[in-house]
Amino acid sequence: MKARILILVMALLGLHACKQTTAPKAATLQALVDKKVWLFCDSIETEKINVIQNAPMLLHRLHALLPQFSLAKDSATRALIQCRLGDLYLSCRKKDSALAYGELALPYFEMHPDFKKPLFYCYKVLGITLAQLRDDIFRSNYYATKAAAICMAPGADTLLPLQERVQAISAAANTNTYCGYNGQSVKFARTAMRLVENHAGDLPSFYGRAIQAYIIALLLDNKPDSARTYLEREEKWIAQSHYTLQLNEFYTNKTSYFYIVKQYDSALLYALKTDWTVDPFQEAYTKLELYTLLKQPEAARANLDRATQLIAGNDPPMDMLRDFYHHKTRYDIWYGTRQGAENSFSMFDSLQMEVSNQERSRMAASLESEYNLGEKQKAIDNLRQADRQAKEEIRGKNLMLTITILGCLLCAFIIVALLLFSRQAKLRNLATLTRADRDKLALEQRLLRTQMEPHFIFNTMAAMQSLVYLNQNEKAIAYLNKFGRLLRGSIEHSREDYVPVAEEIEMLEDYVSLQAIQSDNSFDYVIRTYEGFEEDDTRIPPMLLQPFVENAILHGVRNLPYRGHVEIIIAKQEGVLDCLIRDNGSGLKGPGTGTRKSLSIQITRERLSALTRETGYPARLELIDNTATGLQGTTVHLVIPFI
Amino acid sequence: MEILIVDDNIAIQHTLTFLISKLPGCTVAGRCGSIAEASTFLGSTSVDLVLLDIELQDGTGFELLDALPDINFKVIFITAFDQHAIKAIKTGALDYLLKPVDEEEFRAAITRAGRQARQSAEQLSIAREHMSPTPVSNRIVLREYNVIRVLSYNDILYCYSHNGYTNFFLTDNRKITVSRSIKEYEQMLPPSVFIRVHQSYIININYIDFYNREGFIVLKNSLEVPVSVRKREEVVKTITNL
Repeated sequence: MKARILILVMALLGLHACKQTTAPKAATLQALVDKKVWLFCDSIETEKINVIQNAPMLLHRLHALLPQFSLAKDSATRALIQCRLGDLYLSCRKKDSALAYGELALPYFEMHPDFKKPLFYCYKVLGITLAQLRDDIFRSNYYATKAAAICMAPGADTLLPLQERVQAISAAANTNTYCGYNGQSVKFARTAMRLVENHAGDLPSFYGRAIQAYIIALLLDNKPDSARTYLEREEKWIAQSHYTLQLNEFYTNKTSYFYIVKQYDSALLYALKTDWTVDPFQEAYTKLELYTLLKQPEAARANLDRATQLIAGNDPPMDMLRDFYHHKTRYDIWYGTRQGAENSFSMFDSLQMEVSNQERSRMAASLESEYNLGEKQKAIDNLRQADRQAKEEIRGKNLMLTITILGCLLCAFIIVALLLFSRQAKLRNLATLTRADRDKLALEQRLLRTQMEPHFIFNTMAAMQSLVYLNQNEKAIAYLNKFGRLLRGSIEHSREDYVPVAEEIEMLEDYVSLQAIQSDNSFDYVIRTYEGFEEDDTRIPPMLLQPFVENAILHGVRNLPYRGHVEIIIAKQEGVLDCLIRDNGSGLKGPGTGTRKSLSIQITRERLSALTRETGYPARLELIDNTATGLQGTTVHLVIPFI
Repeated sequence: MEILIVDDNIAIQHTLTFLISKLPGCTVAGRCGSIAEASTFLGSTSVDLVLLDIELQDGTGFELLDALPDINFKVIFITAFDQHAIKAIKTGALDYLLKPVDEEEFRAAITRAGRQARQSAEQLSIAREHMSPTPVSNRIVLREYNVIRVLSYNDILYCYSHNGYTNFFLTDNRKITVSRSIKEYEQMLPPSVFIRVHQSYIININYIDFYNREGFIVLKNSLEVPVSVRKREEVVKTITNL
């Protein structure tokens, strides 16, 4: 019973432990996302499908999936689809769509930052698209930096493919460059560079992008020597691999490098190598600057004119315009008129002012947006924390509940155990009690059966005293001898469980004769035994017959109006002694039937039944009232099994 | 002095007869072996003293006294071995003899009986009360020289033993000195009311004010009673069970 309860409790504890350990693991993204969608997205991500080639098909399928997951419980699925869409649109260079889906997906994954991969894609998409849009460089930098941070976190190498990491970190280097965080930019660019260093052959576009970003970062950070090392490396690589897609950027970088190290002729060389078709205005003013610095006024003049034309025809960005006037002012000072120089300078000055104003306001706006983003992040963090707290609270409550339940169970178990224990203890007590009772009873029996009644002893002594007083000295001595023998026998037998029948009969004779003397021989007695009892080794418990003989004398034959008579008959039968104690008194209804008598009867019965158990022979105790059959007195019939 | 012997043991009858015969001025008025016999005898014959066995064939000695309308004789009880009866007799401040009878004791008892006034009915009834297997009495008899005092347990504040005498200090500030040992009173007084706290002191637990752990009890009359070291545990137990 106890063991079963214990097992139950253990099982419950185990169950609980299992629940506890499995609960947090269940919260993987896979479990939250529709299985089909998960597999599909996973296959896109791991590029088992050629993304660029199949982009329209993939976009179509993703768009078809999206409306199926509109419920709150589908938020993870939806966010994942949106994230994938953003990334796909980025691959297809559809900046606006990429931005839109990136922004849609981001909130969910910002709330669940454990899902690092989709969060990374969101950040990457947003960082790159915003940077390409040149709209909000600080926001783009914020996202790109976050994406890069995920790529640089430990364990990212297993989480994300190398290309993705290089792309994101390079992007972060670029955005930091735009923001003027040159140190940061160098750091990112270097990281990207190191990642891709050994992949110049198999990932040329990433290698090229990384090395260029690094060169730009180094140049801007005013480390032209380091930049030259990488430029040389890039040059070598381009020559070896014939990878020409980024050749133009390489030339631009070279130009920038030589410009910075003031080797204007080399700069011009590379500027002339550069294909400026995408940015003719930049070509014009770059060449203007270089020709000016190389003191070739004609060539400079030609570029100046070209630039002026381009300004008139297009609407170049303010900062470029400013740079143009900056270069033009120098030209005017060196080769032009004083008036032209003044004009150019005032133009530059106002543009500079405007640009700086613009920059300042943009900076302010960007900083604000950055701040807002930070705030948003903080809010998200707060929300997340609140969520975590709530979860913890729930977990705590669950724990409390579990503890309470377990506590209850434990209490119940303890109570049951205690009840069982106490019951057992009680039973044991009962057993001991009964054993104690039995011991007590046995002791009582022992005393009763072996001890001469104090009354008898003192009365006997009083009787002897009277004999002495009456000068019946011989009688007194005989009396004393008998008494001594009886007392000795009593003491000796008190230590024995079984005594020879002969001794018991002798003691009975002594006892009866002493009683007869005490009552002034007011009754006769006779003891009949079987032949040869003196030599018989038969043994019986001591003092079994004595109480009945005593009873026959004290309550039977003493103080009778006629002469009393006590007869004791002991016969040996198969395994038993058959004893009769017969008196001619007033029968059982007569006076002097006390509690002591009934107690002695009870004790005798117990002793007899013990004897039956021991020997297997039936015992018997029967009290017969002779007056009921028209005779006198009482007959006690005792059947004592002997050993 | 006319003396009646009531004892169912013939030998005792012989002995007592012999001992009485040796005392001047004392004669055996009769010998009875049962209550019925004695009752008949006393109904017709006037005696000065009855030597009364407590346990007789047809009842106890007290039953004989109950059966008589008027007890105009002195009683000395006789018993072989009956602790309970002896206690009851003592509580009633009655006299008794033990079997086998010691001649010296016998003579002293007879002499005492001759000298003292007859026991009161109250003494007998108190002894009778204490004879019942579960005594309900709350009284005890004290014999101070020739004065018999019946006290309720509530009257007794404490007992103090001195030179073999026992001094009873009562709630009304009286003092009664009895020529019995405090040990005898310890046996007589019920442990539910009295406790022997010291070799020389028995106190009534109802009058305990408090127990000082330094080893004395303060009674409600402010008297300090010392508690012997051996008794402290018992005393504390008794007090906490009050």
